[in-house]
Amino acid sequence: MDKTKKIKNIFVQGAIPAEKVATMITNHQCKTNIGAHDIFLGQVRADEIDGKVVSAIDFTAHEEMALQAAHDVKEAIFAKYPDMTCSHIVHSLGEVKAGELCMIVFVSSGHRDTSFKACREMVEGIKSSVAIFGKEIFENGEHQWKENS
Amino acid sequence: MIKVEIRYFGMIAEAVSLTNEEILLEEESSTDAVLEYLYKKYAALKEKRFEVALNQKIITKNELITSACEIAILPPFAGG
Repeated sequence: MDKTKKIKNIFVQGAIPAEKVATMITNHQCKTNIGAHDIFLGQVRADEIDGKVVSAIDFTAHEEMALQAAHDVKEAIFAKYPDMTCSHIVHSLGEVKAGELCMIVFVSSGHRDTSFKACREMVEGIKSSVAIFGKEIFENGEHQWKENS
Repeated sequence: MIKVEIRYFGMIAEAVSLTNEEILLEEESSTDAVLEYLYKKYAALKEKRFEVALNQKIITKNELITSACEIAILPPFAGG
């Protein structure tokens, strides 16, 4: 099976429509060796900081580095879990309002254990090693820079 | 002359009011020397935490610059 793939784009402009998740599920229905999908959805949270409420996050990236790092994260997880069938990452660039989706991590495997573990590891890998930056914009127009913990 | 493309991102781009610039080195140099130059040019950089990537690979020590390259100044990541 061809599990080593070329570097794929992960970015979309603006919020990810919820329908995208349904389309991704539909696209996997022909792959009948899959028994489990685990899907992580990142949503912009209206954090309240010092009385100010986050209304959106404006995402930017070093796109070439980010795509390479996302690819490397995927490849490392594929190598670790032979039961993994495929995985997909989608991430927003530009402004995403509170309540909207900014990331999808979609992992498919033969059985649930791999999907659960691999999806979690992929999300953590993206957060720690992919060069994406986020400006949290408050309702009053001020902003601060988001930092993954 | 060695052409170095410097790229700034996120809060760093905001601090230096630039997303990219080109500098010309007269002779072979190093990433530490370029950073020293940038610290002098942009006092605001001193208060920022960032990582440095040379030709799109994050570096953790001083590296020689012997030919045209890209240096990216990357603030903390915030994806997801």
